[in-house]
Amino acid sequence: MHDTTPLSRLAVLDVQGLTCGYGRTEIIHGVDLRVHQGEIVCLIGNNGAGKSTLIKAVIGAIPTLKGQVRLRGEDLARQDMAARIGRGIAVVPEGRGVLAQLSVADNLLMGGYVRRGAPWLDEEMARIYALFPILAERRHQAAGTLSGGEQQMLVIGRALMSRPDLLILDEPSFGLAPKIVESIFAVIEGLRDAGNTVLLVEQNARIALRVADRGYVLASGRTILDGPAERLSEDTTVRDIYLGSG
Amino acid sequence: MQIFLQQFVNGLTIGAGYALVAVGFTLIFGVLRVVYLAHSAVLVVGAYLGLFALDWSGSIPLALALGTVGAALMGLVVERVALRPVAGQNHLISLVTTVSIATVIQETLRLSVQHGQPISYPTGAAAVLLRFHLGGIELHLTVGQLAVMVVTLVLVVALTLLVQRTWMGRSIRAVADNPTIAAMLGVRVKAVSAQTVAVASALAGAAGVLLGLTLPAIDPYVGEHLQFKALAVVLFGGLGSVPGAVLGGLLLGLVEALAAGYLETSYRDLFAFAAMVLILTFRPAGLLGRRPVERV
Repeated sequence: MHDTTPLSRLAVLDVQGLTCGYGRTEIIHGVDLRVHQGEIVCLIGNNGAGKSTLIKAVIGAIPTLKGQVRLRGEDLARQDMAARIGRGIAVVPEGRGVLAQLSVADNLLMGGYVRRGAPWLDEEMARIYALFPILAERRHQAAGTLSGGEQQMLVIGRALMSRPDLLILDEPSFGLAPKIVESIFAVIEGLRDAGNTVLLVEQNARIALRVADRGYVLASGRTILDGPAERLSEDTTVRDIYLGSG
Repeated sequence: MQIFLQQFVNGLTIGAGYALVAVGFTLIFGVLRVVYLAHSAVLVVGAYLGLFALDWSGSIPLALALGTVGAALMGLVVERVALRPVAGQNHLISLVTTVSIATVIQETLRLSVQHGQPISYPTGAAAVLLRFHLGGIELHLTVGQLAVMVVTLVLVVALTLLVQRTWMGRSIRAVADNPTIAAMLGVRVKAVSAQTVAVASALAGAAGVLLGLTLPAIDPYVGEHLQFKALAVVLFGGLGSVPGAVLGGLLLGLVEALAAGYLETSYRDLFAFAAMVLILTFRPAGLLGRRPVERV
């Protein structure tokens, strides 16, 4: 599967010439980005490069000023956020974002909200408990009482509940101890092996490029580089700016 | 003992009404985070619809059904007209819009139904006095009072099941917890807000009919006093807490009835509010409140 050239594979997410921002302030200036079936694509860039803004436009949290966002070929221009989530995008928001007062089980169920009534929800929940046994142990506990790492597992599990076509992870390493980050990224690699399609937004370029198949480098609202992850990690610009000199 | 038990039963009846109104308030505050003062007007719509149904059919269940459904629809109108257009704005704005629409509703009722004169529910089945003997003590209870307790119990259980076990309830709790995250899970926050107001209004409508069954008469402003007390009950039980609102409502009813029974009827409100000030002094988050509520 890795010898197929990426472009010949089906694009799950296809962003073309996307321009967006807040009010009249344009933050993203014409970005192209593709995520193909079964790959992990990372979007790296410094704080303030526009990563979160780009994601917000993809999920419909802010309007698109120019360009297109397509999911499996379907133009999402007229779909609001709830409709886009319903069409198969799941988001793990920045800074964790558990529903703190709801139980772990209810958090997972809410991940399946857009698939409520689907006969496989219980099965999916059992699968997530098997993936993260600690969540099963704490299923009746309020999500806000979990540790940072457990909360990150919970939101990833929650995002998987809807069996999404595209999983967007926004800064999963944010605020976690290095050891926990390692275990979260091991989980993310496992997601690809299970056939998921992932768009990984990360400030931590080193670890993102390690798990990703391909990557985009965003700076001041433009993609300045893109390509296979190995090539990006050897690129001098990337090495100098985003990986330290290591 | 005789007085205590009798007043205890009376207190539960009064408290049940507070609980129904307070539960709706706490849902609305929890989910929409607005100052909402149209609840009394919605309640009165339920009370009048119940009155018409009872006049027409003589059936208490039909009166309850019409009052509940009618109030829920009224609540949807209030949400659409007075809350949605000002969503996200300063709390004072929703205060003004909800008081305004409440006044429009109450004045419309005043001008259109018997010039706002107090009207009594047809005394029939509801006024029948039941006597219960409990080890030598005789307790008096009207059918109306019994209806209040039974219906409140059924509604509180139904609401608890709705909130805890259904997708609608789960989405309501998710929005109350964090609307931004709920939206990212595909929840339409506006629709959930409207559903929440409808559910709360249905409970207020039922409370209106029950009030009609127990009070000597109703008028378009009969809900005002209740709304104020329910508001206090909501803080006292813990803002956003359904069990807290039920417990707070029942406690307030009991304190009032016991104060009226042992002291004097006119001391009722003094004791009720003194008890609330005391509890809030020692437990600022309310009886069952978990933490300070303001979230910016």
